[in-house]
Amino acid sequence: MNLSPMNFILLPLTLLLIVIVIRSIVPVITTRLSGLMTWKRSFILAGIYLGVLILLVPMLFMLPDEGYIKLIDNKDQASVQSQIIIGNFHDHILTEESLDKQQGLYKISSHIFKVDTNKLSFLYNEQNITGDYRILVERKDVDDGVIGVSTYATTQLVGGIDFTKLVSPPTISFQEGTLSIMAASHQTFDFKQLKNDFTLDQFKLQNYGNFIGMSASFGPHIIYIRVPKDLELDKGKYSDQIQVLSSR
Amino acid sequence: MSSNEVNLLSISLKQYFYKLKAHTGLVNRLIITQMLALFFSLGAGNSMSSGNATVSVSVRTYSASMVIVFSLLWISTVAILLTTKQYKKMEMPLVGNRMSGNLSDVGFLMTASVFAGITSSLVGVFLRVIMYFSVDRSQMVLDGFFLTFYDLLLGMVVAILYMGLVSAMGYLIGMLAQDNMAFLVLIPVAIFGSLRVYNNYFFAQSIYRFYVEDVSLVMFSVKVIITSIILFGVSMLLSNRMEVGK
Repeated sequence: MNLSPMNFILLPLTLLLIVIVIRSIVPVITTRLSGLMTWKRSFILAGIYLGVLILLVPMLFMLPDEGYIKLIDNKDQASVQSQIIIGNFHDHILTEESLDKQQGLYKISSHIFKVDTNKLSFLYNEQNITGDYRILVERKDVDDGVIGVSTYATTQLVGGIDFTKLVSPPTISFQEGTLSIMAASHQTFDFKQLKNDFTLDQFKLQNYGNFIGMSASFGPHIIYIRVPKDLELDKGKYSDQIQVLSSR
Repeated sequence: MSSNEVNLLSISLKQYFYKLKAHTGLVNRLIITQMLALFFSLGAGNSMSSGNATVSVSVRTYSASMVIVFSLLWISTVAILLTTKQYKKMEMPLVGNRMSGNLSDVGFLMTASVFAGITSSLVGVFLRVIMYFSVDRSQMVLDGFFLTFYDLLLGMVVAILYMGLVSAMGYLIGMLAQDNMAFLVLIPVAIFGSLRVYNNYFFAQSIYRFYVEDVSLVMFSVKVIITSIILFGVSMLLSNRMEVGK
């Protein structure tokens, strides 16, 4: 924790003020309450407190268990699969069929556009399309005048929470020979998880493994574009980011 | 059973019931302490954040461990308070001796431990119910949210055992402090200080691990019960020695 010089002075002063206030208020409250809180009333209060807490137990058991996030069992495998995909990407052996079948990879959107030009240009928002996006172009065997764009996301994991499906896909549009790929703006996810008390963890062998479960894995997004055989590609300034796959 | 033993037991029981009435105000403080700890638990969960250029993810974890820790602090305070002259004076109206007074103190502490152990574990249920109604379920992880009845009972039993152990430690510290007030500061400082030393083979840490790393409930219970009996026994011997000294 970094404390600025001002906070360094203010924090102890605030704590001191709290202690002074508590020390001056508590005796007043205690004196006033001691007259009201006879042993019988204290017993009743303790009984009510215990009773209310006990009543909450069946209430908790009756709460529906739908709509929550479920931790994935094979998070390590999913993470490994993501790494394999990244490895395959560098080896240039990806095809749409292989992507569809790939474990740990989700197809998040699919688009088809009719091409009315001989040249295809690209446009995307560079500030959001970073190294996390891989753009692959495959030439079809036929000249059917149709561009197919599929977007995939590798498993996005944090602490066993797979939030891949919550990540917004990029917006893909095609107009006047230009394929626009607009990644969604920065997204923020805030998950909440309840852990066992240390009294329970001690006997469930979880006291020392909590940090292992909090590992994070952010795989890349893949934008797979299939273009007609004779369509000319104008990669423009994006030549480094767009990879044309070798024909099979 | 001799008449002396019967007398000691009946006097201790009378003093025990008398103390239950006299010290009920301490339970109000426990309730306030637990509610305060619950409030802190709701606001200050552990958080882990991660992200890249396109997403930021944070996972905040909550537990009622703080409620149990606060309850442990409460029971240790109560145990120390019971050894003070102010609280010992409350025994005056009843006929008895040091032994019956100590036995009734132990009885009271055990009752308080059971109450604090049960309620502190149940506050964990309260925390979950509050979370259910205050947090969007699409942000909540299912695993760990629902407790099984067995887990709840196990948590209660372990919390009660810890309360008993800490109350026995507090009672001994209180007794030592009656002899010399410096013990009241020195012993907790020595305990917490030695636990902070980065050395797995340090004696105090070995003692700590002896209890905290035991994964067998039966063994843990045996260890805690025997230790508590020893600590209470030493406290009673000290108490008798002080009485003779006076």
